[in-house]
Amino acid sequence: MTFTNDQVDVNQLPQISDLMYEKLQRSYLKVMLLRYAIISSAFLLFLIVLYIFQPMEDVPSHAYLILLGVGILYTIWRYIVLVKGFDNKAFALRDKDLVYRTGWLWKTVTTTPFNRVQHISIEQGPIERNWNLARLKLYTAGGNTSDLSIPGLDHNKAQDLKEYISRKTRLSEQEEE
Amino acid sequence: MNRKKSNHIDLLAPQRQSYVAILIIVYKLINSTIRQSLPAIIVIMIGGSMKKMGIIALFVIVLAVILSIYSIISFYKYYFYIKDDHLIVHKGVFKKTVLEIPFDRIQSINNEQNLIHRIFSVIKLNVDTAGSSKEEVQLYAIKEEVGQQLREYILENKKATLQDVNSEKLQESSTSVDLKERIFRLNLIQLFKVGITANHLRSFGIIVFFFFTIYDNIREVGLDLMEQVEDYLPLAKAAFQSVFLVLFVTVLFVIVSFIISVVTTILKYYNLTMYRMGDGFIIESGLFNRKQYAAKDSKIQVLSWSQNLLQRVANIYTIVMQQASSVTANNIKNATAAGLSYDNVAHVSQYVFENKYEDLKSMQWKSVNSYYLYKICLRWTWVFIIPFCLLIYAQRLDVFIPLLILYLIIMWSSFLRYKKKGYGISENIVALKGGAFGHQLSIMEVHKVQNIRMTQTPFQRRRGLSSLIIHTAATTMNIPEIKTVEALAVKDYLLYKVESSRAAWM
Repeated sequence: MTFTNDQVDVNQLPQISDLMYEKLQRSYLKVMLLRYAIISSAFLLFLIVLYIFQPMEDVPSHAYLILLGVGILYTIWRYIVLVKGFDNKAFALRDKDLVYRTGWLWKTVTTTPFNRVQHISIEQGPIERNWNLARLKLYTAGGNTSDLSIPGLDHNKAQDLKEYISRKTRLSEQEEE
Repeated sequence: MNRKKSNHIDLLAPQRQSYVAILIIVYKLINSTIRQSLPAIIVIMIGGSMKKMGIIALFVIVLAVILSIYSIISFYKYYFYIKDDHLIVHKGVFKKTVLEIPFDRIQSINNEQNLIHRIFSVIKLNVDTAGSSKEEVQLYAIKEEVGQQLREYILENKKATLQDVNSEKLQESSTSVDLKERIFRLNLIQLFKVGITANHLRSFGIIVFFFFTIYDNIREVGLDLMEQVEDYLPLAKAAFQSVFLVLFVTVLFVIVSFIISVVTTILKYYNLTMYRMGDGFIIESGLFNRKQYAAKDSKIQVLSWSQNLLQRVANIYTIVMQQASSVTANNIKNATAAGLSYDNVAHVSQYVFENKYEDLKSMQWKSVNSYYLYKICLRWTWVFIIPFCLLIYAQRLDVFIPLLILYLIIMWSSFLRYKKKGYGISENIVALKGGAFGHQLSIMEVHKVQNIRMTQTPFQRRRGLSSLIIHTAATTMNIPEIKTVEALAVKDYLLYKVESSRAAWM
């Protein structure tokens, strides 16, 4: 292979900011809400039980009420973040990488180049199976924190994406030789 | 080739592990459950009456049955096969997972056989990949011949050279001394320097933590040493509360921690020798426990060197080679050498980066936004503000003034951290500067990037700032608080470099 080292105009580089993002399946919001409903109801139930029985005698009763109030406010806040954040969860498939955007106030954009993908898996939890949703995971050598995980995809679409990316990673490996 | 064809029949069809695997999974699950609940069991045993024993026994039996059923189901849901040069594993009881591991990504395949395995003539197969432990495949028990065939098939069809072949080569030739070029050896005076300049704060912290944990544990068991001492020596109680004794204990802690860190450092780096061999490094060190680290150039993801305040005075550097390796093999992950001169550091870097190292000299350093300083200062102020108010309210100036001095030192070090923070990106390398009272520099080659993450908090958005997190196979490089436009440009550039590069990251 001949060695090339072309000059690159920085302004001509492909830019991530003008990507067309594709949102997750609407039904995934239901999955998230359902999942959080289970957790938050357990949490609130615990606080209510605490308020009713007041196990520690030297703690004044209004302290439990305040705790319950804070718990309710926190739960409401989490719901707002969840619903607002859902619209920001989106991915974009490019020729050589996959971009995933998430977060409403705290935003994160993760990009994984295909030629760094170690392997790909599709995961499906019991709630997700009901809506035929799946989670696509791209594993890189960067360890747990750098794995890209896109939830709320239609199961067939996840499979298509997996096929496409697998082909791309194989392609980039052949080039390396 | 004939052999390979005959293997096709066996390995392409999905198959389960040997039935012995059930036994092993049950054993593992019960073992780990017992180990985790051991403290609770002991407490119940000690505190509980004989009546409760029946309930506990019942509970344990029920738990064991549930775990066994779970193991059996998970055994039946677990099967593996080979398809298009991928090892494919299906698993999961409640959550179905399909793992697809390309042969090229497999770093090593290890057999293991303990007593149970030997009795049933099965083996445990560990398939190691670079990356998180989740991606690693463990076949708890498969028939010896299946394991053998699987191993051979994967090795035969693997395009890239196997990692363990390389390391074997490295070790083989390491026995013949004449092949190695010695870069650096730590003599006794240098060793002493390294010992004195070690991070004493850390050992101080460990000692304080250790002391209080032991003290707490002893008290929990009911043997309050202090109380007993107080019973016999009423004078000691008064003395203990005096400021003088507190001061004495502090000084004692400082001296002990100093001695401990000097001694451990000297033991660790005794006769440290660094060799260059083939396309890698070998670092040997240690007095009683002599360790050898091997670092291949291609496996080194990030090279960093640093100086703390004391090392700056002594003019010596510590160098760390962050290597890509699987999580299970973390004992060889970071090769560290201390007490190097600047020339040694440059020498090593030149070996690792070759001509790319020249980029560093013409590097255009960029600083981070002042919001970085503002953020650190604000965080520390939040930590200190409540104690400050309380102390002033209680008119305890004797505590307030030392705390204020500590606060000012932290503010000063934050300012230094901000001043020293910087990053530079050239044609071939990414470099990151840092340090507060000391210095730190990390360098990576552009094509070692695995994944890039850009984050933005609401506070950053108001100021048009973002942070970049660059993941490599060994560590992450953070570029905090830079202009969003700048971050986007850096990200686009790095992605372009990675995606157009054919250089392997390992």
